[in-house]
Amino acid sequence: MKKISFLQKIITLCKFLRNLYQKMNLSTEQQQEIHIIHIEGDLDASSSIILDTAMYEAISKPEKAILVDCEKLNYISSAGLGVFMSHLSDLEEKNIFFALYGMNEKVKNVFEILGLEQLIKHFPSKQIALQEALGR
Amino acid sequence: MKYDLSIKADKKNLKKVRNFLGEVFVKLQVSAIEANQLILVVDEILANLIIHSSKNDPQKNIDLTLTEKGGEITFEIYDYNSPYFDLTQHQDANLQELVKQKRKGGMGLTLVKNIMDEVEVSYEDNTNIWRLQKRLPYLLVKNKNA
Repeated sequence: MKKISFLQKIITLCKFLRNLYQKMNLSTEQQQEIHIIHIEGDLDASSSIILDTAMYEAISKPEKAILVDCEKLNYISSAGLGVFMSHLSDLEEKNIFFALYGMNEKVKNVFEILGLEQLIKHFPSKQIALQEALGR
Repeated sequence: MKYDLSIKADKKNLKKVRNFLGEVFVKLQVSAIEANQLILVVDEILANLIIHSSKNDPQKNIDLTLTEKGGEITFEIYDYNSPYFDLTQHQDANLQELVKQKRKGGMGLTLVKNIMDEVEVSYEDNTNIWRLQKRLPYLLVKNKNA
């Protein structure tokens, strides 16, 4: 038991250092059949792999909806946007409701420069996003 | 005003460049949205060069200059010891196609071209020199009043 506990501490420390180094934190939350991914910090070519892994994990589960909380997302580049784009086909195929919420003005501006608002649903708040996801 | 920065070709340095540019744009009084767009442009070019041209070789240097003159922001990015990059061959991203192909890349240069007024690449001494320009006339007014 002690060994596992020590190993867990090491893993936690590694995750902490990785997040510190890559300037992005990611956590997940489950609300009934809705999976929420919280992103904090900068989503760039260096950190987007973490989001990609989280998206793969979420899609592999029998979720009704996946929401991405962007309230603390400070910055996004095409690498981050590309992660969302690359999963759209699978989300549609599995009939999983997908949306972002809480984007700040800078992030929303980048989203709009590419015209992604036509492809990816986005809502101003978590409350509205949850209503939309549950109301399907 | 001219600012210089040299980085090693490592994706982990992208954040440092964004922080550096952020501080410069605060000094130059560039609006928050446009500062973010300009930071994004440099981030996109550098990420492309680090991943594709430099193959994540941290021994390689990439140099960047930022000049503000007469209400114009100009970036010059030097990608040394690289094969010629022909920007004219680049086609803007087709979003529907990217979704269909489940591609993660392919939008960076489209973002750059949509944001900047001028984008060109010249090739000298085995070096691709990216020159990117954005006109921000309100900077002239701000500088006069400063």
